[in-house]
Amino acid sequence: MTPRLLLTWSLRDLRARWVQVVTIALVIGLGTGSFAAFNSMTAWRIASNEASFEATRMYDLRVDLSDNSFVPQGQLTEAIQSIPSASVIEGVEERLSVPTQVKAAYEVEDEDDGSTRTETVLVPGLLIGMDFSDPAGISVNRLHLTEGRELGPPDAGELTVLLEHKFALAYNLPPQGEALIAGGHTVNYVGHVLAPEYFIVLTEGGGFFAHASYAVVFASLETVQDIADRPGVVDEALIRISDDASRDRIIGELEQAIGGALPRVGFHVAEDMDDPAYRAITEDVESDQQTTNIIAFALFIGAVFAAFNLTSRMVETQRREIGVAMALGVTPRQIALRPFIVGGQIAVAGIIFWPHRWLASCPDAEGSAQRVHAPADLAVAVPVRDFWHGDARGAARPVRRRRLSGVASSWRQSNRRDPHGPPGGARQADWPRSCRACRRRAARSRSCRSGTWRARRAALS
Amino acid sequence: MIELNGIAKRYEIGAITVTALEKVDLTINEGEFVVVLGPSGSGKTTLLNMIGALDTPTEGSITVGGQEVTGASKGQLFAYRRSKVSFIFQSFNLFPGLTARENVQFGIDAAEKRNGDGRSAVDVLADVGLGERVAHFPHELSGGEQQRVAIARALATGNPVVLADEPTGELDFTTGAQILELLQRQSGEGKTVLVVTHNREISRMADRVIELSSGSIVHDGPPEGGRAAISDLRW
Repeated sequence: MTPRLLLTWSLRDLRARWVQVVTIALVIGLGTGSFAAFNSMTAWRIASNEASFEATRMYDLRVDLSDNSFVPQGQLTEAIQSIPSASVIEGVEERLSVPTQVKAAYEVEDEDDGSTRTETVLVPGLLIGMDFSDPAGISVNRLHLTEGRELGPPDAGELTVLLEHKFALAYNLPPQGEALIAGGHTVNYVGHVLAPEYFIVLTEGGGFFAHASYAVVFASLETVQDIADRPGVVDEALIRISDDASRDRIIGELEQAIGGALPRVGFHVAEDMDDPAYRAITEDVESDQQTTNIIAFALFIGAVFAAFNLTSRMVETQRREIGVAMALGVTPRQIALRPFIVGGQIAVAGIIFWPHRWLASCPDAEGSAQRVHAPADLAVAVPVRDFWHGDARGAARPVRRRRLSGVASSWRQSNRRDPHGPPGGARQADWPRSCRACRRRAARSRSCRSGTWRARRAALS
Repeated sequence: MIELNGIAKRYEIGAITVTALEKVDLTINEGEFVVVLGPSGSGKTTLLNMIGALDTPTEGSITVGGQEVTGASKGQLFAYRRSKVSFIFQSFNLFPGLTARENVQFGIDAAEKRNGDGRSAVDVLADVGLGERVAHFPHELSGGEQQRVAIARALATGNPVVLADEPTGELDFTTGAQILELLQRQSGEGKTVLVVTHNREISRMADRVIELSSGSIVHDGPPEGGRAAISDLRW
C-alpha cells in the first residue's frame, strides 16, 4: 500500500464514520484539555495572585505596635525613614486599626412569592484608618474599588467608609448605604473595595469562608481616630521597599531605629509572607493543585478509556476488511497502519478542536471558569484564556512539527510547570514585562522558578 | 502444481469431533480449470482454505508450486498468500472505502509486485470490462461488476493459482456466466483456477470436476458428458 493510498483511505474512513470521529475527537479534546487546564491552574493562579498583589502594592514589611500601643502620627514614618538604607524605601503608610462591630441591613428575596424583606446582620470586624490625603493615592496596600466611589481628601474626618468587597457581596449590599459600627456611630458606606490583606478573609484561627462573618471597614485616618477617640495616633505602618533590597538588613535597621526612637513602645516587624491571607492564598495554590491533579488524572484516564473504547468499535466494524486483507497476504503490521493513521488523525483533530479553545472564546464560559479556578476574589484576574490558548498552541506545536506522533509530546507541552514563564506558545512580549514580585523573590531566592516556593516555604517554616 | 497428501481436518467441539475433510489425496496440474462440487457441509470451502493457507490441516501435507504449505511459519504463509494464490469470494469482499481502481491497486501492492505482464490496475479493470468504472466505489457498482473487480484484484497480483469460492453464488445467470468466462480465460492463459460451487451446471464447463461428500472425494474426473461451452449452461 502506498502512503498516498493509505492516507486517502484513512480520510475516507474519517468521513464515513464522522459521528464516531467527532465523538472521539471531543473525548480526546475534553480529556486532554481538562487535564491541561487543571494542570496549568498553578501557573494561572500564581500569575493572578502576583498581579493582584502588585496592583494593590502589597506591603513588603509592616511594623505593628503592641496591643493598645499608639504613637503620634508621623513618628513611625520618621523613625522608618531614618534607617541607613532609607533609599530603598519606596513608600510608608501609617494606619490605625481598631476592632469594631458592624450592623447593616440587607434585602432578602422570598423564594416562594418573590417578595423582599429586610434583615439585619451584626458581625465583628475591623475598622482601618488610612491616609487618603495624598492626591497620588495610597502608596502601600492600595484599595481596589469594585463598586461605588473611592475615598479622597474631602472624606477626612467624615463618617464615610468603604466596605470590604466579599462581606458586601455576601449580603448583596448596595454600593451606597448606611451601617452602624461600635460606639453607636452610623457611617455611610460609599463603595466596596478589595484589599490585599483580605483577598481571602480568614477567621482568627485561620479558617476559611469567614467573609460573611467578619466585616472590614476602611475609612480616613482622621475618621477612625475620631471614632476610636484616639486623636492623632496610629498603631501600624506598612512599608514597601525596592526589589533588590536585603530584607534581613532592612528589618534589622528598622528594629534598631524604631527601638531607639520609640523606646517605650513594643513593636514587631513582619514580612508580607507572614500575612495570613497572603500565606493562605499562595500556599493554597499548591494544595489545590494536588487535588485538581487527581481530578485531571481521572478525566485523562476516562478520556483514554472512552477513546480506546470508541476506536475499538471502529476497528471492530472493519473486521471483515481485515480478514480480506489477510487473505491477500497483507501482514498484520501493514494492516495495523490503517487504524493507526486514523487514530493519529483523530488525535490531531481532538487537539485542534480543543474545546477549551472555543470555551475560552465565550465570555460566559470564561467567566464561569474564572470563578471555578479562583477561590479568592483578586484585584487582578489574569484571563484564563491566555493560559488555555497558550496550552492549545503549546500542544499543537509538536503535532505540527511531527504530524501524527505528537500526542504524548502535547501533554508535556501543555503541562507547563514554569509559573513565571510566558504561557506556552505565547510570545515573550505577551507576558507582563515587569513582574515585580517575581524579581523581588528572585533577588531573595536567587531563583525565579520553583525556588520561589521553596524559598517561601523554607522562610515560613 | 498443487499436491494434497492425506489431508484431514477435524474440529473438536467439546466431546464431539466434527470431520470436515478425511484423507484427501489430490493433485492439480498447472493451467487446469477445476470445479470442486458438493453439497453444503461437504468440505469444499475447507479444502479451498487449506490450499489458500487460510486454514491448517489436522493431518497431511499440502505443496503448491513446490512450496510446502503445511508446517510453514506465519511469515512464510503471508508471503505464500501474497505470491502464490489469489482469492475470489462469494460476497466479493471489496474494500468499500476504495474505488475499483484502488481495490485492484491494493491487490497489486499487497502482492508486492506488478502484475505478470506489467499492466496497471486500470488495464486489468479494462480487461474485465470495467474500463469506464475505475473511479467508482463498490456501492456504486452492480453485483456482477463488483465480482469482476474482485477478479481483477485477484488477477492483477499475477499469482499462478486462483481460488474462487462460490464466485457466482450471488449473481444472476447471465452475470454468472460472464464471470465464469473470465475465469475460464485465466485458465487458458496458464493460471490454475479452482472454483468451489454447489451448482452442478457450472461444473460442466470445467476441465475437471472433483466431487466431495462428507469430507471425502467421491468423484474426480472430467465433467459428465464432456466439457460444455458457456453458452450451453443453464441454471
